[in-house]
Amino acid sequence: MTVRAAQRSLAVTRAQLFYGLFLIATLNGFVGLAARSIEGAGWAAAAFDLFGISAILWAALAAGLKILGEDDGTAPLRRGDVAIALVLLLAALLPIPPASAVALTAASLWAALTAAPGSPLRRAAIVFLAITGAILWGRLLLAGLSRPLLDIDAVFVAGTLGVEHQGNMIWSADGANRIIVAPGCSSMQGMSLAIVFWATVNQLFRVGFGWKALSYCLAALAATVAINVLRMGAMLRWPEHQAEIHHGWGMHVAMWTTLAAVVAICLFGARREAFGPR
Amino acid sequence: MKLSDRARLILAAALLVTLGAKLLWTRDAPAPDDALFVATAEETLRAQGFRTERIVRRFGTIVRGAREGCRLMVGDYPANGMFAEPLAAESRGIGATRFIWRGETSAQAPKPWPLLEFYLKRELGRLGFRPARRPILAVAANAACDAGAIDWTPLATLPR
Repeated sequence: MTVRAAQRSLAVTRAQLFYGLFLIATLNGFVGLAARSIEGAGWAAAAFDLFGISAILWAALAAGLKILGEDDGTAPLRRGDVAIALVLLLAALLPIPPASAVALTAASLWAALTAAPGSPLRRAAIVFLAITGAILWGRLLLAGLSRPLLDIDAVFVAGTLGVEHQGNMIWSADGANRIIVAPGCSSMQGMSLAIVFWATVNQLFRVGFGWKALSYCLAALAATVAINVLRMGAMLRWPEHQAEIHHGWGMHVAMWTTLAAVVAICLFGARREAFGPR
Repeated sequence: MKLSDRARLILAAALLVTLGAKLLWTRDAPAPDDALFVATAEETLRAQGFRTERIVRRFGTIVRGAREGCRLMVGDYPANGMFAEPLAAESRGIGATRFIWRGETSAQAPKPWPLLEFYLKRELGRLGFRPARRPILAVAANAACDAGAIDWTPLATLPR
């Protein structure tokens, strides 16, 4: 089937095709986390918890689709688009959610590399590529490089409290308590979400890429690490409240504070484009 | 950009089919059975004349064994390596930690293949399959132990 024949039979533009592909692949990539949340908490509680998927990821999905909605619909399908679409749909049909995340990576890379600079398709593709970092690649990176990455968190916590650490294990000042930095506690989890939000805001409001924009990304990452380090430090400082700080109110306070800090920093970085005269 | 009614219908059908199938089919993959590992480790050591003792820690349970002058410990080492330090701390006073996986013993924990196997089996577990797991054994023994003479075969493959 030629590209023109495919376009005629599908009756879609390039932006419309990728609108559907990005939506299908992202939701299918989310399903693994959602299924775990539904199985653990039931449908109602899972829905209240956004199906175990960060509000940042839902916002990025909505923003990515909104950006694609700005497309004027004049870009025709390219050679390769149909193949990408078929591979992505095949991956979505597989009962393995990470397959959709891999296909989303391929589709968003393809779209980002082949769309015109500054076009809605390229901007949206960057947002969806960032989403794959949070739902797949960041997690794999953390598993593959767990020792150095978890150790870095431990270095920050130990340095902040002035206590001893060995690898990802940190002792309290009196040596009576210790905590182990596990992947779920790693700052990497929050950092990948901070990158998603930064990419989303910058693409949504067309913030130019440069050192200034990058500095706000670094600030958001630093805030994420700082809040996580304080949370882990609090677990060591007040061991009698370790459980609450680890997975109770302390976790929620840290999560919402991180969200607020990342949103504030990224929006401040894009204030001219987001809130200034158009 | 606007989607035609036909395109919306196709998109909705694709979402219904792909998401519906996943929600019906996929389950949370069962976690490795720590209790089975500990029980098998105890049986393995007792069968070879060791007295055993469970050391329960927040990160997991370690089995210690003693037979005449020989003292050793064995623990389940996760493929992502996050418990290397706590296991090393537990082995202090016994000996250096060695890692056994698929019959091979090494001073450094194996990483890429066990991790890949872990992820593949986790996805199979989500689909309802129950592939056997091959845990990485973290073993420390003192100088009085002939570590090579201990048969770890029952721990090489576990049903879950």
